[in-house]
Amino acid sequence: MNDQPGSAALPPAKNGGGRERLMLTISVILSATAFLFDRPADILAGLIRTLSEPGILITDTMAIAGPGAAFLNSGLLLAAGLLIVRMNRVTLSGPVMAALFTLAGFSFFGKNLYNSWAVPIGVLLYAKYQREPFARYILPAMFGTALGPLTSQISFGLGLPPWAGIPLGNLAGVAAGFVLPPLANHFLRFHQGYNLYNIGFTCGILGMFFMGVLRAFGFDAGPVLIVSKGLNLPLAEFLYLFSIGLAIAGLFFGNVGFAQLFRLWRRPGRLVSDFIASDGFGVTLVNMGLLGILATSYVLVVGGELNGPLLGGIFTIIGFGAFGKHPLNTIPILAGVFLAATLHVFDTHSTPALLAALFGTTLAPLAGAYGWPVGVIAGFLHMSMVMNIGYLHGGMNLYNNGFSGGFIAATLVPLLEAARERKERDLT
Amino acid sequence: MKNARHKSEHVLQELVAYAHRHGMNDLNIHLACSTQGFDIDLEGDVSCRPDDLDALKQALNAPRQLELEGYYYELLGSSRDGREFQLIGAMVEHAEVTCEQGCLRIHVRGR
Repeated sequence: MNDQPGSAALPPAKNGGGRERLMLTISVILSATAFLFDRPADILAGLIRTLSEPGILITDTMAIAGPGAAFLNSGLLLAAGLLIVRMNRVTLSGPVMAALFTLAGFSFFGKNLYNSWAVPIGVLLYAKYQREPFARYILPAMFGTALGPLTSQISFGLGLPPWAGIPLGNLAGVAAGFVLPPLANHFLRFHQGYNLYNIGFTCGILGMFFMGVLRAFGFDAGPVLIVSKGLNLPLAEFLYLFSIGLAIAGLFFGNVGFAQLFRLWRRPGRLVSDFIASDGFGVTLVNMGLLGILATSYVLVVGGELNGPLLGGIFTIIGFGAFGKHPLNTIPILAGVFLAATLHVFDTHSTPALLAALFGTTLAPLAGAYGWPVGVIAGFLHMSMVMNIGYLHGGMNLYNNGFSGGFIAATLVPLLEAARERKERDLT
Repeated sequence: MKNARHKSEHVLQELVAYAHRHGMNDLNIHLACSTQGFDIDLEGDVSCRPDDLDALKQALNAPRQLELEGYYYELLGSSRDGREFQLIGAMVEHAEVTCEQGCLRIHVRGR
């Protein structure tokens, strides 16, 4: 039973050891993979280079610092996230796993060892202000690193001298982190939990405010698209091996069979759907592995070229395989985005279109709750919306798809509910 | 006190939605809030044992999770489905669910 006090001493985390060891192993794998791509000296030089990059959307860490540095950046940030989780005695539940995978994934495009601290520090200050334990706000703190480019852009991207840019950038990050928890909580009601990347929506709103102020003072940043090339084969090999490894690891945690897997796949996936709590860790890992294979295959089948941002997108999907996503609610979204990209002016295999597809799965709960046709429509609308909305925050919110997804879900859900109410009235 | 009141409203909303979904139209509800937290008792007649009763029991008795409570509690009561068992379980310290002789009783205690 439950015995946790609200703000006093925290109980020991119930991670069963296995989950923590697995995440630590993933951190080591990511760090070790770095040395398969580059020499140690190049990795170190690349890692140092990432620190002073603005990192706004879409900047591929592999392109600016090399794949080795990008992998080490990801492994180190995952380890840091894991350490924070452990220090605060937080259980490695579905949402926490999703947050850690998202942190690792976005370390391939935008998050780095410099810009990922200001927002969590702001959240920590908010926790102190509320006289609550930081554990209560650990999810906004970790997901909130989406605003890392806010810190980096002001520090290094606006042409300010370092003595002014660095303090101002960090101050902006801390301020954003301080207001993030109440806003994130509030905006949940806007889309009623049908947009899995809720912090993406919240950070989009915040980024919009910050960018508005910056533009008012004459600071602006044009669209950025820096992506690496020529890494398709090694990244595909890595992703397939990683995903298969996760699924096999799931089998070792037990209680995995087709019945358990199909039970999980029948869940709508609306927030809050912690698959680890409802279905067990083993079957959740299998689901995560299968999602990794599905997402990687989608990119390759439509003729895309794997790079840092796409690797980040696939890692995020894998992470949310513990918190709302499964193949049955994800495929309709991918189909909708693909359909839109086919009819629109965008290339289906371009990096922005593929990112829209991968991160468009933030709307997976719509397909899970209302059926696959709704999922296809949501994916279609998402593709149109997401390509227009990035201007508002000037690329400072890395979860641009969560921003777009919030609007799509908030628009569709009331209409779908009205239709459902009418249908139910007809039946009674 | 204010915090406990606010949370209890969300939890109660979700429990009532659950009861309505199972055809419980005549409900007895007792809600008590104090500086220590809140207690909710809800009971009503059901025509048959709810098929998701075991899932409800299991979720309500899950360990409390501060990180879910702090971030997601606004979602409670936001839909009319009454399926946010996991979230209530993450927020409450103690729960009892019984269904005997056509009467469903739910008691939760949180802070």
